Formats: sequence, C-alpha cells, structure tokens
Amino acid sequence: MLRECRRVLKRDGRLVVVTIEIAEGLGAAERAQATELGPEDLGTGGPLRDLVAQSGFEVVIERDLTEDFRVSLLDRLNALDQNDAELRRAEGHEMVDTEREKRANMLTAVQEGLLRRTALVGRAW
Amino acid sequence: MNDLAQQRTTIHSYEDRYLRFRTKAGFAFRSEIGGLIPNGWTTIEQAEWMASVAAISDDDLLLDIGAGRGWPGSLIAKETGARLVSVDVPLEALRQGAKDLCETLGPRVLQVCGDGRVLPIGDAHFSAVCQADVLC
Repeated sequence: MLRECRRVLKRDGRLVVVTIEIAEGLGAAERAQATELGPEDLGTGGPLRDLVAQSGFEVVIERDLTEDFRVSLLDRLNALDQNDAELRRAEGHEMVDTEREKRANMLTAVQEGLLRRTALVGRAW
Repeated sequence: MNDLAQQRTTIHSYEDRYLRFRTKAGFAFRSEIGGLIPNGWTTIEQAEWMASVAAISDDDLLLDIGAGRGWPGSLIAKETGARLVSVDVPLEALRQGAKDLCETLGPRVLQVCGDGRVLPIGDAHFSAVCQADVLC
C-alpha cells in the first residue's frame, strides 16, 4: 500500500501516516502476543519507519502517539462502562462484550510495551 | 478458502464494523467519545497536526486512503483548503460519511470505493496522501 501511495504522489509530495504497530525490539513470543492482543489488521511487516523508507520516501518527521492512544483506550472503556446497561439492551451482550474485550486487550498490550502508535511524515523522492 | 472468497470475507468484516453501534444508545456511546475522536483512533489534535505537516494548500489534491467515513482527511482538507479524494473499500462507510463530507467540503470532495493497494488513479496525481490506522 505504501508503494501505491508513492506511485500516486508527485515528487516531493508528503505522506502523512498514523498507525498502530508492534513495538520495536521484541522477541518472537512478545511479537506473537502483540499480534494476538492488537487490532485485527495490525501490520506485522516491520517498523513503519523502515516500511516507509523502503517505499520511496525520505522520513522527515516521526512522532510517538502511544500515550495518547493509551488515554483514548481508557476513554473508550470508560464510555462503555457509563453506557453499559443501555448498550446491552440496545446492541446485545455479545457486541458490548466483544468491544470491551478488544479495547481491554489493546490497553494491556500498550501498558506492557507491546504496541505503539506512531505518526510519520515521508517526502516522496 | 480461495483468494476471492478471502477478499469477500475481509470486505464483509470491514462493512460489519460500520454497522456496529447504530442504535440510539450506540450513537450516544459513539458521540460521547466522538468529542475527541470522531472516528477511529485519530484525535482532533492529531488530525490538526497532520494538516500542519501535509505541506498543502488551496488547489492541491489530497488523497485519504482507508478513509472510512472521511476522518481525518476531511479536517486536513478543511484546514488546508485542499481538494480531497476519500477512498475506502466498505460502501457502508462511504455512505455514512457522505453527508458530513459534503457539508464540510462541498464540491471539493470526491468519495471513491477502492482498495488502497490497487488505486484506480494515475501516477503522480496528488500533492499529499494521508492514512490513519490502515494496514501497511
């Protein structure tokens, strides 16, 4: 997908990408745990920085958004708690439980240093 | 499962995401967290930052891949004055985002149903591309 981004961009055009990724420096078991706890479409191809650089971009800015992501996960879990009874009546137990489990798993992964959220700007060369 | 069947399953799973929390209570839940995060995980502050580093202005063309209902491309286009092409696979996401996108950007936005891995777009067409939480 990043190569396709490069193809449709003009020279010197900017790629601005934000994504959840597996933290760097993890062993195989930790990476497997990150994949299990992370979002369904978690990228596993390597650090975003490297993928962007390999796709025809010069990385000009990198920003770690993991703490913001942790706060967002907590906010969503709190919002689920506050609306729990009404959501269960309207949406059903399965949907609410699934949503809560996904968010809780991601929060665990972030707190254990397995997942990070990264923003990156690349310049097409 | 062959490739085509796998693709259909994936597309259906993406469509399903946009059919969750569509009841009145679901909307209330989404709007409660929507004050800071209209869609996905990108906050307003982060979208504003994306606009500030996109290095685009009036008449530039911005592509938002995996745009869903149009966030955060809509804010980036609004802040910079750029024209926006908003691309994603699930039709349900495009349908849900159409009204807000048109109200925000008017004729400066075009929604396209397409896969970011094989874009139906010519080479060197855009001044900037944004994507948020799309599989890389």
